[in-house]
Amino acid sequence: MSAVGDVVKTGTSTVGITFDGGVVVGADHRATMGHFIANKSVQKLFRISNNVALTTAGLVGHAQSLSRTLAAELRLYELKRNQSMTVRGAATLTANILVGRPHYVQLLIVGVDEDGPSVYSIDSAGGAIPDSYCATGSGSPFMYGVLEDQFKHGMNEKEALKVAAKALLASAQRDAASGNGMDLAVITQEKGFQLLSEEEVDKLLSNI
Amino acid sequence: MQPSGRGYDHGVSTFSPDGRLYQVEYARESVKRGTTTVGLKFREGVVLIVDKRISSKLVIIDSIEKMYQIDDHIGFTTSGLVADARQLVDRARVQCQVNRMTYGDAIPVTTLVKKMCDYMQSFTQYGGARPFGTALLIAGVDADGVHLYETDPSGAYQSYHAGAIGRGRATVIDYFEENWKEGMTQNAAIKLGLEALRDSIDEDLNNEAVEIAIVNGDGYSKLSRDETMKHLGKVN
Repeated sequence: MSAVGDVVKTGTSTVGITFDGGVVVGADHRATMGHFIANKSVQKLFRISNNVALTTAGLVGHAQSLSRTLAAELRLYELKRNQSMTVRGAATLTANILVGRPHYVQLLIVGVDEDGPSVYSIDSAGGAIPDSYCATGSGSPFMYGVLEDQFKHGMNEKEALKVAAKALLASAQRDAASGNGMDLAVITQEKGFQLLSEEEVDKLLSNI
Repeated sequence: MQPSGRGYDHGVSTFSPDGRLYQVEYARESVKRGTTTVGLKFREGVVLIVDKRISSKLVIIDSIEKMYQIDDHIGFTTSGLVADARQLVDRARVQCQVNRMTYGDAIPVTTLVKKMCDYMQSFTQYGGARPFGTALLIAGVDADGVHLYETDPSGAYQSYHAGAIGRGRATVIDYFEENWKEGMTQNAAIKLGLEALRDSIDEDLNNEAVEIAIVNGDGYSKLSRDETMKHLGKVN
């Protein structure tokens, strides 16, 4: 199976974008079984700790299982060490789990630590690659069109949110396996993980 | 010289003829030598207080731990062998996360208490084992309400309105029996706990060595040094 074939099969759109002081992360709500929309309100964006989030594409069972494991591991790490895991730490931990037992998923681990914001894309066999922005899932080719045009280093929170929303909107319109609204969250050093409310997302989209 | 257990105190799994397990009783002695820690319920939660008595001013107080957050909604204080306590704390933290992974929910406090006590009990029944020389005060809040449990090296546990473990237990319990009331405010409970602790050591509490934690509907939180000082100021 080609890499592109794999990505297209995941049937999802998720995006992570670093900005000056934090990361924006988002995912659509659609779950598909072939041409059938199996669910219109799936959660693909998970808070793993106050400074790290996960987005998932691929098999829902594998993704949910990983999110449970990661949330437990990061909480234990915090309790034992009295400090947060770095984003790189979380990405490496996830990659190690996947190398041992591959899951049919394509993940983003995004977050903020003392070294600033970062986005890691992680493949189903545990390859972990840091980047300043990344999109995953079948909608990613459409999102990259937006990201390559609109992403700039040193954006502020508002600008980054807008780019993420635009990218997810583009994939919702052109990828049959993505859509039904979106989750968006911001992680900053000061405020930690903040999920946008439905109203906040609606307001953001109405301005695009 | 006659050994105190008359030969029945070597193995942990051997009863004496009068039905005692000497090793378990010796483990309790280890707890009685430990620093005093207290816990008491108030209207919305539980107060935990420890006094990390230091043996020398050269010791860096922050390196001593007697009070542990176990999960969002549960805290422990320990008395007795610190190394044994840390094993129990590590295990409890893992059990809490295992419950979240297995059922997707925070562990009920009573379930954790029973799991910990089952584990401690197994060290009193199998050859080659040694009981934990540690007692725990377990404070937590869950759907069933506010909980304060005390565990013992045998694996026995009891629930309390106000309790204590360690060297000053008897004094603190006497003080609580006189003065603890249902439905106290948080500040009143902290004051009562500090007074009881001070009574048990017969001197002023060491400002640097006292730690206070609250477990209520918002979960576990440790008071800052400034807040702790403020409360101590009213007692010392």
